[in-house]
Amino acid sequence: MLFGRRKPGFVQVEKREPESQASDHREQEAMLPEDGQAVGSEQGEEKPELMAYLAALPDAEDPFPEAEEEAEEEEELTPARELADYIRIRSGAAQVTARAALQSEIEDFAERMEALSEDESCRDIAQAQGAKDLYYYSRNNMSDNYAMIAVLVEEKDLPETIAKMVRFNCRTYPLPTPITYFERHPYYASLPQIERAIDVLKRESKYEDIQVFENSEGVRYFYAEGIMSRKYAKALAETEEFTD
Amino acid sequence: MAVYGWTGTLLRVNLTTGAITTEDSTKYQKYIGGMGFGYRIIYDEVPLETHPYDEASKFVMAVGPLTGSGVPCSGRMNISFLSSWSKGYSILDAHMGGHIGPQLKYAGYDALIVEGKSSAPVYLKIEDDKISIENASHIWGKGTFESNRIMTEECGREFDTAAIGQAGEHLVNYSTLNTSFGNSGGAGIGAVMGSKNLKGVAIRGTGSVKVADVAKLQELNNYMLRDLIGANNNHNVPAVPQSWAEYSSVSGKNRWSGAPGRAWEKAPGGPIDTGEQPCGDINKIAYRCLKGVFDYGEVAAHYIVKQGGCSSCPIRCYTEYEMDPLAEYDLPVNTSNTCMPVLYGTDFYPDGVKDFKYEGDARVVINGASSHAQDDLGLWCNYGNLYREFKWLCTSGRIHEFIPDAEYNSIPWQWQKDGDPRFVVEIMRRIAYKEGELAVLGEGTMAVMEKWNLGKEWMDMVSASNQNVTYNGYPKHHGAEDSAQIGQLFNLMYNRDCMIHHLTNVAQSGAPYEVSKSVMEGFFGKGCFDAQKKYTPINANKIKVAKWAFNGKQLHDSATVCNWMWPMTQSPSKERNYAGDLDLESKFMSAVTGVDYTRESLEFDAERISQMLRVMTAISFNIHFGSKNLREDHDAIPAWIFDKEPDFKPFEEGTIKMDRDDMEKAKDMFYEAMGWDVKTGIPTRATLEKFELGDMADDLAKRGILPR
Repeated sequence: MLFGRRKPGFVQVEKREPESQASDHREQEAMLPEDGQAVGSEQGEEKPELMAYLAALPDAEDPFPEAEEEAEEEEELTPARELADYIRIRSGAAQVTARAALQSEIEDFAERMEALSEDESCRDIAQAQGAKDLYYYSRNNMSDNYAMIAVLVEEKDLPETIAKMVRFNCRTYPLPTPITYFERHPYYASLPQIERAIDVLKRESKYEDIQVFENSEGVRYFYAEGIMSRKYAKALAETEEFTD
Repeated sequence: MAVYGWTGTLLRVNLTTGAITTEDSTKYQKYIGGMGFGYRIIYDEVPLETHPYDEASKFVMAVGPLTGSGVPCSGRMNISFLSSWSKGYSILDAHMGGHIGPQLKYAGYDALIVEGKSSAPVYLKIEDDKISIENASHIWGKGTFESNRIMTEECGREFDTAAIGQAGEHLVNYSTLNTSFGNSGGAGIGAVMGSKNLKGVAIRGTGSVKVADVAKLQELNNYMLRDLIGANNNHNVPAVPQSWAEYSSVSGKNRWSGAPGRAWEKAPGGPIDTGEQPCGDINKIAYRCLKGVFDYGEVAAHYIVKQGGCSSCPIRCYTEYEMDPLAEYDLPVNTSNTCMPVLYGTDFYPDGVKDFKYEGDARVVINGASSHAQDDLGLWCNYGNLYREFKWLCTSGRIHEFIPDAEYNSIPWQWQKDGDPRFVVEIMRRIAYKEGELAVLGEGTMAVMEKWNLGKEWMDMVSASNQNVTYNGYPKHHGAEDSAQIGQLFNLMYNRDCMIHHLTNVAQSGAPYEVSKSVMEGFFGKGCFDAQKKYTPINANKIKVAKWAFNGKQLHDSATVCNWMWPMTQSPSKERNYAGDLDLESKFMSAVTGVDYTRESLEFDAERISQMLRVMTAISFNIHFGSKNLREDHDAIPAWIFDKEPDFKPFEEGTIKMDRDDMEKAKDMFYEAMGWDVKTGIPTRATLEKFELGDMADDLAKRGILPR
């Protein structure tokens, strides 16, 4: 594939010229005279030589052997593998697949999942438990950490999303999280939504570790008390002026 | 015998006599190329007493064996000359990207040595072995964009050109050499060329670089692009979450800023979404860096046409803008830059700026005006000191002490209050044309301190406007904030800002600390890499890192490859545990030149260049200040580095405030590792002889500064 892995929605699809226009071009080219001769006579004679030459060339090594293998596999798809492919395609588009949605669409869902779990070729299919559902994704196309994020985005519980990611970021990187983090891909929360979520975070005891502060430039950050001290979180939120 | 990598030829042009000659360059190959060639040639041919603007002064434009070979991120060129503005007036370099370095190589030259002085303005035309000195009287006085356009039209569009602007012509110490694309070499090269009446160079090469092992080069290229390279500064995780990636930058701010929903909004034919760019997908590497969004946030995308960049570089870190609000002010709307000129133009407006067309676009548009003006005038900023010092002048309440009333009243302050982009253009114009007392800012930080009697304490003060990392007139360039003592140490070593990115590329990559720590400790051992603002006392493994970074910079500017991208310390690949490959430079050097390099042997050659830098600095300081001690006179550290952040103690969680005793210990350990006398910081004879620099030891001895 010329431009590598394509993901639906993330790649501009090249518009092809309508067939009629393409034909017009060919007709115009064919009508162009060259050195007083009608195009086609001399060139037409050369064509078989070129084709013979090309046919005589040794077979080039296939740069995309995997694609061929996949094509072969496609012919022998079992229902379980068909399901796995569907999950892979959605993972390729940065989406996890909810069990409830599959159950409502596929009559023999339970059998297929059981077959899938026993199929060696489907080892990339993983699952992530959300609060509302179980979600499937392919590790070939999606990382475990992103699946965690994608589940949170899918479940649309912003206070829970903020709390989980703030704790994760404090523990993993370790860094405080600017509120703008949740405005970006793939969360796309609006500022009013974040403000409402902050109100919930302040009210509910299960979120009492999630704290908000402002750095010297007025940018607000979250951090998780117990994982990181407020003093360290505030220090890490102060960015250097010259960073190029 | 075939010469691979190098061309084997030096080009020498004497502007006084008009003599144009070539020489065998193979005798310099142990100095690698670029900076290494430049240092050796300047040391051999230019007495260090020479003023950089004297006829006897020379400059050396040089490229290394990797430039033009097809090695990724190798479109660089190094220019060595003597400083006109930093303490000691010693050896320094301008470094530039673009396409002109490879053209020099394709024309058949490893280096261009320019000496003498023309009696009238000229430019140099190089077309393979046809070299001529062309009249430039009709270009003199014009900005770099117009000058490059005229040279290109006169020579042909296959030529790459670079020109000095009005700053160089007026012998402004802060001056550059610029291509038409925004690539520039700074540090005062514009004035060095201006002093020789040399307006620019136009180069076309139709040859090629001979590669010893083409198949290996291809294999290494594929390996680097597939498994090792990240985005700009080799940041190895995306700025926002991408579905294939395990990690992303929590701040949302790193240089892998391309992401779904972020587009080149002004692209011809409609916006192009940069989408996801998975590790291993080499055809999407060029979408990873959306530098404008890194610099200004999402609002920048409204003005982005596309990303551009240098020869042989897949990263494309130069954002190309069309800033239509500037048309209202009769200012050019198209601009492209990737470094300081496009970041801090708003420092000229300490009371703030106003948005033009979109919420938050003031910084974008003001910097568009600022960077275009600065590049056109060929004005250098000394890594931001020009902006900091103008801002300090405006905010310190002391401007009337230094700027006469008549001059003060002639400055269009209303434009500053209005956030009018013409203000920054006008201030830069005055500095570039050396008009009035304001022009002292263009003479350099040392000149500001000395002419305005600010005293050494001005460099000691704790203030955002003071980033001076030594008392020599240049600021830190990724120092302690990224790598504590390590960054502080290598910032002390040069005669300009150090421009070393080895550590900031890891520390600011966006990857979790434990991931980066594991990579670094895998290379250099336990305790070599501190968490952000949580640093530990100096240790032997940190010294190993400091030495690797210091010598590595010389390697990159000699090979010549981009130090913003190299070395490949980290990788975006989870399968590699995010570890890069520090042997890659030597593998490429071996494939291209046919010489059997190892990482160790190449670092040895690079260290030879570090030793030359140190010797030449010691001699210059001895000539100009009678100094016999670089530790005291060159490597002294201003007080603000130890006194900042009063709420913290050194080593406390949350600070990068350094500890005086610890830094002195770090110097001891670093000098020992480099083979320098601990008391003076000057290389010993044994060290210099180890690097076949015995003649330099003799020179130090003759001057009475060789350590006993």
